[in-house]
Amino acid sequence: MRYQISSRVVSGLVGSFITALLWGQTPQTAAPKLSPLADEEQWFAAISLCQSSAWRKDPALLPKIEALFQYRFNARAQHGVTVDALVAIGRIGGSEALALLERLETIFHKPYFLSGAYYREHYLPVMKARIQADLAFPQVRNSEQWHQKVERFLQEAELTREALQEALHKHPQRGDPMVYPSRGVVAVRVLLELASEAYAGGVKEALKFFEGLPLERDYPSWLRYQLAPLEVKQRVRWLIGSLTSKPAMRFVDHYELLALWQCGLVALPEILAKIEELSKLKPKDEEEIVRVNIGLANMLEVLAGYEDPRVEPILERFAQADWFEAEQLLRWRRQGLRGILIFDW
Amino acid sequence: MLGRGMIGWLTILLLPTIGLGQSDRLQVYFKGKATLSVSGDVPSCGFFTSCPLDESYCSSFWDLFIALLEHEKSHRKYYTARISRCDWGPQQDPDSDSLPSWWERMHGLDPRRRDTTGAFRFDPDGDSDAVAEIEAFGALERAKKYWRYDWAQYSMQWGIPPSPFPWRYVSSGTNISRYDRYLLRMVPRTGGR
Repeated sequence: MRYQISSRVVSGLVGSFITALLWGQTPQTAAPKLSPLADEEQWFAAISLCQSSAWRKDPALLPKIEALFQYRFNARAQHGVTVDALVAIGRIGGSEALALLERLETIFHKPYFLSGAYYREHYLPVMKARIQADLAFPQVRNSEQWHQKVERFLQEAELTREALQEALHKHPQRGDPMVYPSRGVVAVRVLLELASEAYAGGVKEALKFFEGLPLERDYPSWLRYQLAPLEVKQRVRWLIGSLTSKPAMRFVDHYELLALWQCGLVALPEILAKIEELSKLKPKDEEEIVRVNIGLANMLEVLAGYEDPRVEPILERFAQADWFEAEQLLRWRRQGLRGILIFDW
Repeated sequence: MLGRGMIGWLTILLLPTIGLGQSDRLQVYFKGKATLSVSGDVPSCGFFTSCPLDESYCSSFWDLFIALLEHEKSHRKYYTARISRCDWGPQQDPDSDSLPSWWERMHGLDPRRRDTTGAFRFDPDGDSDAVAEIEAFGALERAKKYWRYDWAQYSMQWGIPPSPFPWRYVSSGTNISRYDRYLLRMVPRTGGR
Protein backbone atom coordinates (compact mmCIF):
# COMPACT_ATOMS: atom_id res chain seq x y z
CA MET A 1 0.00 0.00 0.00
CA ARG A 2 2.79 2.35 0.96
CA TYR A 3 4.33 1.78 -2.47
CA GLN A 4 1.02 2.48 -4.19
CA ILE A 5 0.66 5.83 -2.44
CA SER A 6 4.20 6.86 -3.14
CA SER A 7 3.90 5.83 -6.78
CA ARG A 8 0.76 7.97 -7.12
CA VAL A 9 2.55 10.92 -5.60
CA VAL A 10 5.49 10.44 -7.94
CA SER A 11 3.17 10.09 -10.95
CA GLY A 12 1.42 13.32 -9.96
CA LEU A 13 4.67 15.18 -9.60
CA VAL A 14 6.03 13.89 -12.90
CA GLY A 15 2.73 14.76 -14.61
CA SER A 16 2.84 18.31 -13.28
CA PHE A 17 6.47 18.65 -14.27
CA ILE A 18 5.83 17.54 -17.84
CA THR A 19 2.75 19.76 -18.13
CA ALA A 20 4.81 22.70 -16.94
CA LEU A 21 7.53 22.02 -19.44
CA LEU A 22 5.20 21.57 -22.38
CA TRP A 23 3.15 24.68 -21.50
CA GLY A 24 3.10 27.12 -24.36
CA GLN A 25 4.36 24.70 -26.99
CA THR A 26 3.08 25.65 -30.42
CA PRO A 27 3.00 23.71 -33.69
CA GLN A 28 6.09 25.69 -34.74
CA THR A 29 8.08 24.39 -31.82
CA ALA A 30 6.66 20.87 -31.95
CA ALA A 31 9.09 18.08 -32.83
CA PRO A 32 9.31 17.44 -36.56
CA LYS A 33 7.81 14.19 -37.69
CA LEU A 34 10.72 11.99 -38.62
CA SER A 35 10.69 9.62 -41.49
CA PRO A 36 10.91 5.98 -40.42
CA LEU A 37 14.28 4.29 -40.25
CA ALA A 38 15.59 3.39 -43.67
CA ASP A 39 16.24 -0.29 -44.22
CA GLU A 40 19.50 -2.05 -44.99
CA GLU A 41 18.87 -2.08 -48.71
CA GLN A 42 18.45 1.72 -48.84
CA TRP A 43 21.58 2.07 -46.75
CA PHE A 44 23.63 -0.08 -49.12
CA ALA A 45 22.26 1.85 -52.09
CA ALA A 46 23.31 5.10 -50.38
CA ILE A 47 26.85 3.89 -49.67
CA SER A 48 27.24 2.50 -53.19
CA LEU A 49 26.00 5.72 -54.76
CA CYS A 50 28.46 7.84 -52.78
CA GLN A 51 31.43 5.55 -53.26
CA SER A 52 30.84 5.38 -57.01
CA SER A 53 32.12 8.99 -57.09
CA ALA A 54 35.64 7.54 -56.85
CA TRP A 55 35.26 6.54 -60.50
CA ARG A 56 32.50 8.77 -61.75
CA LYS A 57 32.84 12.45 -60.87
CA ASP A 58 29.47 13.12 -62.40
CA PRO A 59 27.37 16.14 -61.33
CA ALA A 60 24.29 14.04 -62.21
CA LEU A 61 24.94 12.16 -58.95
CA LEU A 62 24.40 15.29 -56.86
CA PRO A 63 20.57 15.31 -56.74
CA LYS A 64 20.63 11.63 -55.77
CA ILE A 65 23.16 12.32 -53.02
CA GLU A 66 21.07 15.24 -51.78
CA ALA A 67 18.04 12.95 -51.59
CA LEU A 68 19.91 10.71 -49.15
CA PHE A 69 19.60 13.36 -46.47
CA GLN A 70 15.84 12.85 -46.41
CA TYR A 71 16.29 9.29 -45.17
CA ARG A 72 16.64 8.53 -41.53
CA PHE A 73 19.20 5.82 -40.90
CA ASN A 74 20.16 4.47 -37.51
CA ALA A 75 22.88 6.51 -35.84
CA ARG A 76 25.89 4.45 -36.92
CA ALA A 77 24.65 4.07 -40.48
CA GLN A 78 23.80 7.78 -40.63
CA HIS A 79 27.37 8.77 -39.82
CA GLY A 80 28.72 6.44 -42.52
CA VAL A 81 26.35 7.76 -45.16
CA THR A 82 26.92 11.41 -44.21
CA VAL A 83 30.70 11.11 -44.39
CA ASP A 84 30.56 9.19 -47.67
CA ALA A 85 28.11 11.73 -49.13
CA LEU A 86 30.22 14.74 -48.12
CA VAL A 87 33.38 13.20 -49.52
CA ALA A 88 31.54 12.37 -52.74
CA ILE A 89 30.22 15.93 -53.10
CA GLY A 90 33.73 17.32 -52.59
CA ARG A 91 35.09 14.89 -55.14
CA ILE A 92 32.47 15.67 -57.78
CA GLY A 93 33.06 19.40 -57.32
CA GLY A 94 31.83 22.34 -59.38
CA SER A 95 29.47 25.17 -58.55
CA GLU A 96 26.48 22.81 -58.17
CA ALA A 97 28.31 20.84 -55.49
CA LEU A 98 29.18 24.07 -53.73
CA ALA A 99 25.52 25.10 -53.75
CA LEU A 100 24.55 21.67 -52.40
CA LEU A 101 26.99 22.07 -49.51
CA GLU A 102 25.35 25.41 -48.69
CA ARG A 103 21.96 23.70 -48.57
CA LEU A 104 23.32 20.91 -46.41
CA GLU A 105 24.60 23.46 -43.94
CA THR A 106 20.96 24.35 -43.28
CA ILE A 107 20.04 20.68 -42.85
CA PHE A 108 22.92 20.20 -40.40
CA HIS A 109 21.41 23.00 -38.31
CA LYS A 110 18.14 21.08 -37.91
CA PRO A 111 17.75 19.77 -34.39
CA TYR A 112 16.91 16.25 -35.55
CA PHE A 113 20.08 15.82 -37.59
CA LEU A 114 22.47 13.81 -35.47
CA SER A 115 25.93 15.36 -35.02
CA GLY A 116 25.10 18.20 -37.43
CA ALA A 117 27.46 20.53 -35.58
CA TYR A 118 30.32 18.10 -36.12
CA TYR A 119 29.84 18.00 -39.91
CA ARG A 120 29.46 21.79 -40.05
CA GLU A 121 32.69 22.31 -38.16
CA HIS A 122 34.92 19.57 -39.53
CA TYR A 123 33.73 18.33 -42.93
CA LEU A 124 31.88 21.17 -44.66
CA PRO A 125 34.73 23.74 -44.65
CA VAL A 126 37.17 21.17 -46.01
CA MET A 127 34.88 20.01 -48.79
CA LYS A 128 34.10 23.61 -49.74
CA ALA A 129 37.82 24.38 -49.75
CA ARG A 130 38.49 21.40 -51.99
CA ILE A 131 35.86 22.51 -54.48
CA GLN A 132 37.19 26.09 -54.51
CA ALA A 133 40.76 24.86 -55.01
CA ASP A 134 39.66 22.47 -57.76
CA LEU A 135 37.73 25.25 -59.50
CA ALA A 136 40.77 27.55 -59.35
CA PHE A 137 43.25 24.85 -60.46
CA PRO A 138 41.35 22.07 -62.26
CA GLN A 139 44.52 20.50 -63.56
CA VAL A 140 47.86 20.90 -61.84
CA ARG A 141 50.67 20.82 -64.37
CA ASN A 142 53.69 21.97 -62.42
CA SER A 143 55.04 22.43 -58.93
CA GLU A 144 54.13 26.11 -58.79
CA GLN A 145 50.48 25.40 -59.57
CA TRP A 146 50.48 22.68 -56.94
CA HIS A 147 51.78 25.08 -54.30
CA GLN A 148 49.16 27.64 -55.29
CA LYS A 149 46.44 25.03 -55.11
CA VAL A 150 47.54 23.91 -51.63
CA GLU A 151 47.71 27.52 -50.49
CA ARG A 152 44.23 28.20 -51.81
CA PHE A 153 42.88 25.05 -50.18
CA LEU A 154 44.37 25.86 -46.78
CA GLN A 155 43.19 29.44 -46.97
CA GLU A 156 39.62 28.39 -47.80
CA ALA A 157 39.62 25.76 -45.03
CA GLU A 158 41.07 28.30 -42.57
CA LEU A 159 44.00 26.02 -41.82
CA THR A 160 47.79 26.15 -41.89
CA ARG A 161 50.42 23.45 -42.23
CA GLU A 162 51.08 23.79 -38.48
CA ALA A 163 47.38 23.26 -37.78
CA LEU A 164 47.48 20.06 -39.85
CA GLN A 165 50.48 18.88 -37.86
CA GLU A 166 48.72 19.57 -34.58
CA ALA A 167 45.50 17.89 -35.73
CA LEU A 168 47.42 14.73 -36.63
CA HIS A 169 49.18 14.73 -33.27
CA LYS A 170 45.84 15.00 -31.51
CA HIS A 171 44.06 12.40 -33.65
CA PRO A 172 42.70 9.63 -31.36
CA GLN A 173 44.27 6.25 -31.88
CA ARG A 174 41.55 4.02 -30.49
CA GLY A 175 37.80 3.58 -30.22
CA ASP A 176 34.89 5.58 -31.57
CA PRO A 177 36.62 9.01 -31.63
CA MET A 178 38.80 7.67 -34.45
CA VAL A 179 35.85 7.87 -36.80
CA TYR A 180 35.21 11.51 -35.98
CA PRO A 181 38.37 13.07 -37.43
CA SER A 182 38.97 16.75 -36.84
CA ARG A 183 39.00 19.34 -39.62
CA GLY A 184 42.80 19.17 -39.88
CA VAL A 185 42.81 15.40 -40.34
CA VAL A 186 40.00 15.53 -42.91
CA ALA A 187 42.01 18.21 -44.73
CA VAL A 188 45.14 16.03 -44.78
CA ARG A 189 43.16 13.15 -46.30
CA VAL A 190 41.68 15.39 -48.97
CA LEU A 191 45.04 17.00 -49.73
CA LEU A 192 46.55 13.55 -50.15
CA GLU A 193 43.89 12.69 -52.71
CA LEU A 194 44.69 15.91 -54.58
CA ALA A 195 48.43 15.19 -54.28
CA SER A 196 47.95 11.66 -55.65
CA GLU A 197 46.17 13.10 -58.69
CA ALA A 198 48.91 15.70 -59.18
CA TYR A 199 51.61 13.04 -58.79
CA ALA A 200 49.92 10.82 -61.35
CA GLY A 201 49.80 13.87 -63.66
CA GLY A 202 53.58 14.20 -63.44
CA VAL A 203 54.02 16.67 -60.57
CA LYS A 204 56.39 14.58 -58.46
CA GLU A 205 56.94 17.37 -55.93
CA ALA A 206 53.32 17.13 -54.78
CA LEU A 207 54.16 14.63 -52.05
CA LYS A 208 56.91 16.81 -50.56
CA PHE A 209 54.30 18.87 -48.76
CA PHE A 210 53.63 15.92 -46.45
CA GLU A 211 57.24 15.33 -45.43
CA GLY A 212 57.53 15.84 -41.69
CA LEU A 213 53.80 15.49 -41.00
CA PRO A 214 53.04 12.63 -38.56
CA LEU A 215 50.88 10.76 -41.08
CA GLU A 216 51.30 7.50 -39.16
CA ARG A 217 48.85 8.94 -36.60
CA ASP A 218 46.05 8.62 -39.17
CA TYR A 219 46.13 5.30 -41.00
CA PRO A 220 44.06 6.39 -44.05
CA SER A 221 46.45 9.29 -44.60
CA TRP A 222 49.52 7.12 -44.11
CA LEU A 223 48.15 4.54 -46.53
CA ARG A 224 47.39 7.14 -49.18
CA TYR A 225 50.88 8.59 -48.84
CA GLN A 226 52.43 5.14 -49.32
CA LEU A 227 50.25 4.33 -52.31
CA ALA A 228 50.50 7.68 -54.12
CA PRO A 229 53.89 7.13 -55.80
CA LEU A 230 52.97 3.63 -56.97
CA GLU A 231 51.48 2.83 -60.36
CA VAL A 232 48.06 1.18 -60.30
CA LYS A 233 49.42 -2.34 -60.90
CA GLN A 234 52.08 -1.94 -58.22
CA ARG A 235 49.42 -0.59 -55.90
CA VAL A 236 47.19 -3.60 -56.54
CA ARG A 237 50.07 -6.00 -55.88
CA TRP A 238 51.07 -4.22 -52.68
CA LEU A 239 47.51 -4.16 -51.34
CA ILE A 240 46.79 -7.79 -52.21
CA GLY A 241 50.06 -8.79 -50.53
CA SER A 242 49.18 -6.84 -47.41
CA LEU A 243 45.56 -8.01 -47.23
CA THR A 244 46.49 -11.66 -47.57
CA SER A 245 49.18 -11.70 -44.91
CA LYS A 246 47.38 -10.21 -41.94
CA PRO A 247 47.26 -12.05 -38.62
CA ALA A 248 44.02 -10.20 -37.68
CA MET A 249 41.68 -7.60 -39.14
CA ARG A 250 41.60 -4.30 -37.33
CA PHE A 251 39.26 -1.44 -38.15
CA VAL A 252 41.92 0.57 -40.01
CA ASP A 253 42.75 -2.41 -42.23
CA HIS A 254 39.44 -1.91 -43.98
CA TYR A 255 40.89 1.20 -45.63
CA GLU A 256 43.18 -1.15 -47.54
CA LEU A 257 40.08 -2.94 -48.83
CA LEU A 258 38.68 0.41 -49.94
CA ALA A 259 41.99 1.35 -51.61
CA LEU A 260 42.09 -1.94 -53.50
CA TRP A 261 38.47 -1.62 -54.63
CA GLN A 262 39.13 1.96 -55.76
CA CYS A 263 41.94 0.70 -58.03
CA GLY A 264 39.07 -0.41 -60.25
CA LEU A 265 38.63 -3.36 -62.56
CA VAL A 266 42.40 -3.42 -63.17
CA ALA A 267 42.62 -5.27 -59.87
CA LEU A 268 40.07 -7.94 -60.76
CA PRO A 269 42.34 -10.48 -62.58
CA GLU A 270 44.87 -10.36 -59.76
CA ILE A 271 42.16 -10.77 -57.12
CA LEU A 272 40.70 -13.76 -58.97
CA ALA A 273 44.15 -15.33 -59.27
CA LYS A 274 44.83 -14.79 -55.57
CA ILE A 275 41.52 -16.37 -54.58
CA GLU A 276 42.38 -19.48 -56.62
CA GLU A 277 45.89 -19.57 -55.17
CA LEU A 278 44.70 -19.30 -51.57
CA SER A 279 41.88 -21.79 -51.97
CA LYS A 280 44.36 -24.43 -53.14
CA LEU A 281 46.51 -24.04 -50.03
CA LYS A 282 46.24 -26.59 -47.24
CA PRO A 283 47.64 -24.75 -44.24
CA LYS A 284 48.46 -26.82 -41.17
CA ASP A 285 49.33 -24.61 -38.21
CA GLU A 286 46.77 -22.28 -36.67
CA GLU A 287 48.57 -19.03 -37.56
CA GLU A 288 48.68 -20.01 -41.21
CA ILE A 289 45.05 -21.12 -41.27
CA VAL A 290 43.98 -17.75 -39.83
CA ARG A 291 46.14 -15.86 -42.33
CA VAL A 292 44.72 -17.76 -45.30
CA ASN A 293 41.13 -17.42 -44.09
CA ILE A 294 41.48 -13.69 -43.46
CA GLY A 295 43.18 -13.28 -46.83
CA LEU A 296 40.40 -15.14 -48.62
CA ALA A 297 37.69 -13.21 -46.78
CA ASN A 298 39.38 -9.93 -47.75
CA MET A 299 39.71 -10.88 -51.42
CA LEU A 300 36.07 -11.97 -51.52
CA GLU A 301 34.96 -8.68 -49.96
CA VAL A 302 36.72 -6.60 -52.62
CA LEU A 303 35.56 -8.95 -55.35
CA ALA A 304 31.93 -8.58 -54.24
CA GLY A 305 32.15 -4.84 -54.94
CA TYR A 306 32.79 -5.28 -58.67
CA GLU A 307 30.19 -5.32 -61.39
CA ASP A 308 31.37 -8.36 -63.30
CA PRO A 309 29.69 -11.66 -64.29
CA ARG A 310 32.54 -13.69 -62.73
CA VAL A 311 31.80 -12.37 -59.24
CA GLU A 312 28.60 -14.14 -58.22
CA PRO A 313 29.59 -17.70 -59.20
CA ILE A 314 32.71 -17.41 -57.04
CA LEU A 315 30.78 -16.08 -54.06
CA GLU A 316 28.18 -18.84 -54.53
CA ARG A 317 30.93 -21.46 -54.59
CA PHE A 318 32.33 -20.25 -51.29
CA ALA A 319 28.89 -19.86 -49.76
CA GLN A 320 28.10 -23.48 -50.63
CA ALA A 321 31.37 -24.49 -48.98
CA ASP A 322 29.98 -22.99 -45.75
CA TRP A 323 31.88 -19.74 -45.92
CA PHE A 324 29.96 -17.39 -43.64
CA GLU A 325 31.64 -14.31 -45.15
CA ALA A 326 30.72 -15.34 -48.70
CA GLU A 327 27.09 -15.87 -47.71
CA GLN A 328 26.98 -12.40 -46.18
CA LEU A 329 28.71 -10.76 -49.15
CA LEU A 330 26.38 -12.49 -51.57
CA ARG A 331 23.37 -11.24 -49.62
CA TRP A 332 24.75 -7.67 -49.56
CA ARG A 333 25.59 -7.82 -53.23
CA ARG A 334 22.08 -8.97 -54.11
CA GLN A 335 20.76 -6.07 -52.04
CA GLY A 336 22.77 -3.70 -54.22
CA LEU A 337 25.98 -2.97 -52.35
CA ARG A 338 28.84 -2.09 -54.68
CA GLY A 339 31.64 -0.80 -52.56
CA ILE A 340 33.27 -1.40 -49.21
CA LEU A 341 31.53 -0.85 -45.92
CA ILE A 342 33.88 1.73 -44.47
CA PHE A 343 33.99 5.52 -44.25
CA ASP A 344 35.14 7.00 -47.53
CA TRP A 345 38.35 8.99 -47.11
CA MET B 1 9.28 19.88 -28.70
CA LEU B 2 11.72 18.81 -26.07
CA GLY B 3 14.05 21.77 -25.96
CA ARG B 4 17.56 21.97 -24.65
CA GLY B 5 16.17 23.33 -21.40
CA MET B 6 14.22 20.18 -20.82
CA ILE B 7 17.24 18.09 -21.64
CA GLY B 8 19.14 19.96 -18.99
CA TRP B 9 16.36 19.23 -16.52
CA LEU B 10 16.29 15.59 -17.51
CA THR B 11 20.00 15.35 -16.99
CA ILE B 12 19.86 16.98 -13.61
CA LEU B 13 16.90 14.91 -12.49
CA LEU B 14 18.19 11.60 -13.72
CA LEU B 15 21.82 11.95 -12.76
CA PRO B 16 21.33 11.06 -9.09
CA THR B 17 19.02 8.17 -9.89
CA ILE B 18 21.40 6.35 -12.17
CA GLY B 19 24.13 6.14 -9.61
CA LEU B 20 27.03 7.55 -11.54
CA GLY B 21 30.11 8.50 -9.64
CA GLN B 22 31.12 12.09 -8.92
CA SER B 23 33.72 12.08 -11.65
CA ASP B 24 31.30 11.03 -14.35
CA ARG B 25 29.66 13.33 -16.82
CA LEU B 26 26.41 12.52 -18.47
CA GLN B 27 25.27 14.21 -21.65
CA VAL B 28 21.98 13.60 -23.34
CA TYR B 29 21.06 15.12 -26.67
CA PHE B 30 17.58 14.54 -27.95
CA LYS B 31 17.39 15.38 -31.62
CA GLY B 32 14.92 12.85 -32.84
CA LYS B 33 17.70 10.48 -31.96
CA ALA B 34 19.65 10.53 -28.80
CA THR B 35 23.30 10.23 -28.13
CA LEU B 36 24.69 9.96 -24.71
CA SER B 37 28.09 9.84 -23.21
CA VAL B 38 29.27 8.89 -19.81
CA SER B 39 32.82 9.87 -19.16
CA GLY B 40 35.07 10.03 -16.18
CA ASP B 41 38.57 9.09 -15.14
CA VAL B 42 39.19 6.88 -18.10
CA PRO B 43 41.74 7.02 -20.89
CA SER B 44 40.61 8.66 -24.08
CA CYS B 45 40.29 5.50 -26.09
CA GLY B 46 36.67 6.05 -26.77
CA PHE B 47 34.81 3.67 -24.49
CA PHE B 48 32.61 6.37 -23.08
CA THR B 49 32.14 8.78 -25.87
CA SER B 50 28.79 8.84 -27.62
CA CYS B 51 28.38 5.33 -28.89
CA PRO B 52 25.37 5.56 -31.17
CA LEU B 53 23.39 2.38 -30.79
CA ASP B 54 21.02 0.28 -32.80
CA GLU B 55 17.72 2.02 -32.27
CA SER B 56 15.61 -0.61 -33.92
CA TYR B 57 14.66 -2.11 -30.58
CA CYS B 58 13.85 1.22 -28.96
CA SER B 59 10.30 2.36 -29.41
CA SER B 60 10.43 5.58 -27.43
CA PHE B 61 12.70 8.26 -26.08
CA TRP B 62 12.82 6.50 -22.74
CA ASP B 63 13.77 3.20 -24.33
CA LEU B 64 16.58 5.01 -26.10
CA PHE B 65 17.64 6.75 -22.94
CA ILE B 66 17.78 3.52 -20.95
CA ALA B 67 19.51 1.60 -23.72
CA LEU B 68 22.13 4.31 -24.29
CA LEU B 69 22.83 4.68 -20.64
CA GLU B 70 23.16 0.95 -20.10
CA HIS B 71 25.35 0.67 -23.18
CA GLU B 72 27.83 3.17 -21.77
CA LYS B 73 27.61 1.66 -18.31
CA SER B 74 28.48 -1.72 -19.79
CA HIS B 75 31.61 -0.21 -21.35
CA ARG B 76 32.50 1.22 -17.98
CA LYS B 77 31.91 -2.10 -16.24
CA TYR B 78 34.33 -3.93 -18.53
CA TYR B 79 36.84 -1.14 -18.29
CA THR B 80 36.68 -1.16 -14.48
CA ALA B 81 37.04 -4.94 -14.49
CA ARG B 82 40.20 -4.42 -16.59
CA ILE B 83 38.83 -6.52 -19.44
CA SER B 84 38.27 -3.67 -21.87
CA ARG B 85 41.51 -1.73 -22.28
CA CYS B 86 43.22 0.39 -24.91
CA ASP B 87 46.68 -0.93 -24.23
CA TRP B 88 46.49 -4.71 -24.60
CA GLY B 89 48.85 -4.49 -27.56
CA PRO B 90 48.93 -6.55 -30.75
CA GLN B 91 49.88 -9.79 -28.99
CA GLN B 92 46.95 -9.88 -26.59
CA ASP B 93 44.47 -7.93 -28.71
CA PRO B 94 45.46 -8.44 -32.36
CA ASP B 95 42.16 -7.13 -33.75
CA SER B 96 42.34 -3.93 -31.65
CA ASP B 97 38.76 -4.13 -30.41
CA SER B 98 39.91 -3.47 -26.84
CA LEU B 99 39.01 -7.01 -25.70
CA PRO B 100 41.83 -9.49 -25.08
CA SER B 101 41.93 -12.70 -27.11
CA TRP B 102 41.44 -14.97 -24.07
CA TRP B 103 38.22 -13.20 -23.11
CA GLU B 104 36.93 -13.20 -26.67
CA ARG B 105 37.53 -16.98 -26.98
CA MET B 106 35.81 -17.55 -23.66
CA HIS B 107 32.71 -15.70 -24.90
CA GLY B 108 32.54 -17.06 -28.40
CA LEU B 109 33.92 -13.97 -30.12
CA ASP B 110 36.57 -14.15 -32.82
CA PRO B 111 39.84 -12.73 -31.44
CA ARG B 112 41.07 -12.11 -35.00
CA ARG B 113 38.10 -10.05 -36.10
CA ARG B 114 37.15 -6.81 -34.47
CA ASP B 115 33.56 -7.27 -35.62
CA THR B 116 32.64 -10.91 -35.05
CA THR B 117 28.90 -10.42 -35.38
CA GLY B 118 29.12 -8.34 -38.55
CA ALA B 119 26.77 -5.82 -37.00
CA PHE B 120 29.29 -3.08 -36.22
CA ARG B 121 31.04 -2.42 -39.48
CA PHE B 122 31.51 1.26 -38.76
CA ASP B 123 32.91 0.76 -35.27
CA PRO B 124 36.61 0.67 -34.53
CA ASP B 125 35.93 -1.51 -31.47
CA GLY B 126 33.05 -3.56 -32.86
CA ASP B 127 33.05 -6.53 -30.45
CA SER B 128 33.14 -4.26 -27.40
CA ASP B 129 30.11 -2.48 -28.75
CA ALA B 130 28.36 -5.77 -29.53
CA VAL B 131 28.73 -6.81 -25.90
CA ALA B 132 27.59 -3.40 -24.63
CA GLU B 133 24.62 -3.48 -26.96
CA ILE B 134 23.55 -6.94 -25.78
CA GLU B 135 23.76 -5.83 -22.18
CA ALA B 136 21.86 -2.63 -22.97
CA PHE B 137 19.11 -4.65 -24.60
CA GLY B 138 18.95 -6.96 -21.61
CA ALA B 139 18.63 -3.97 -19.31
CA LEU B 140 15.90 -2.51 -21.48
CA GLU B 141 13.96 -5.76 -21.28
CA ARG B 142 14.33 -5.69 -17.50
CA ALA B 143 13.11 -2.11 -17.43
CA LYS B 144 10.07 -3.07 -19.45
CA LYS B 145 9.43 -5.84 -16.94
CA TYR B 146 9.21 -8.62 -19.48
CA TRP B 147 10.11 -10.98 -16.69
CA ARG B 148 6.47 -10.72 -15.58
CA TYR B 149 5.39 -12.80 -18.54
CA ASP B 150 5.47 -16.41 -17.42
CA TRP B 151 5.71 -19.60 -19.40
CA ALA B 152 1.95 -19.78 -19.87
CA GLN B 153 1.95 -16.54 -21.86
CA TYR B 154 5.13 -17.14 -23.83
CA SER B 155 5.39 -20.82 -24.23
CA MET B 156 4.54 -23.99 -25.97
CA GLN B 157 0.83 -23.83 -25.43
CA TRP B 158 0.80 -21.08 -28.08
CA GLY B 159 3.24 -22.90 -30.33
CA ILE B 160 6.89 -21.99 -30.67
CA PRO B 161 7.09 -18.41 -29.42
CA PRO B 162 8.84 -15.66 -31.31
CA SER B 163 12.16 -14.83 -29.78
CA PRO B 164 11.88 -11.88 -27.42
CA PHE B 165 15.39 -10.89 -28.52
CA PRO B 166 15.64 -9.06 -31.85
CA TRP B 167 19.20 -10.26 -32.45
CA ARG B 168 19.73 -12.16 -35.60
CA TYR B 169 23.08 -13.53 -36.67
CA VAL B 170 23.81 -13.41 -40.36
CA SER B 171 25.48 -16.82 -40.07
CA SER B 172 22.34 -18.63 -38.99
CA GLY B 173 19.46 -16.23 -39.60
CA THR B 174 18.42 -16.80 -35.99
CA ASN B 175 19.48 -15.36 -32.69
CA ILE B 176 21.91 -18.22 -32.19
CA SER B 177 25.19 -17.81 -33.98
CA ARG B 178 26.40 -20.73 -35.98
CA TYR B 179 29.83 -20.14 -34.53
CA ASP B 180 29.34 -19.66 -30.87
CA ARG B 181 27.05 -20.86 -28.17
CA TYR B 182 28.12 -18.40 -25.53
CA LEU B 183 27.55 -14.83 -26.64
CA LEU B 184 23.84 -14.72 -25.93
CA ARG B 185 24.34 -16.05 -22.43
CA MET B 186 25.15 -12.50 -21.58
CA VAL B 187 21.60 -11.41 -22.26
CA PRO B 188 19.76 -11.56 -18.96
CA ARG B 189 17.00 -14.12 -19.16
CA THR B 190 13.39 -13.53 -18.33
CA GLY B 191 13.07 -13.12 -14.60
CA GLY B 192 15.89 -10.61 -14.62
CA ARG B 193 18.66 -13.14 -14.05
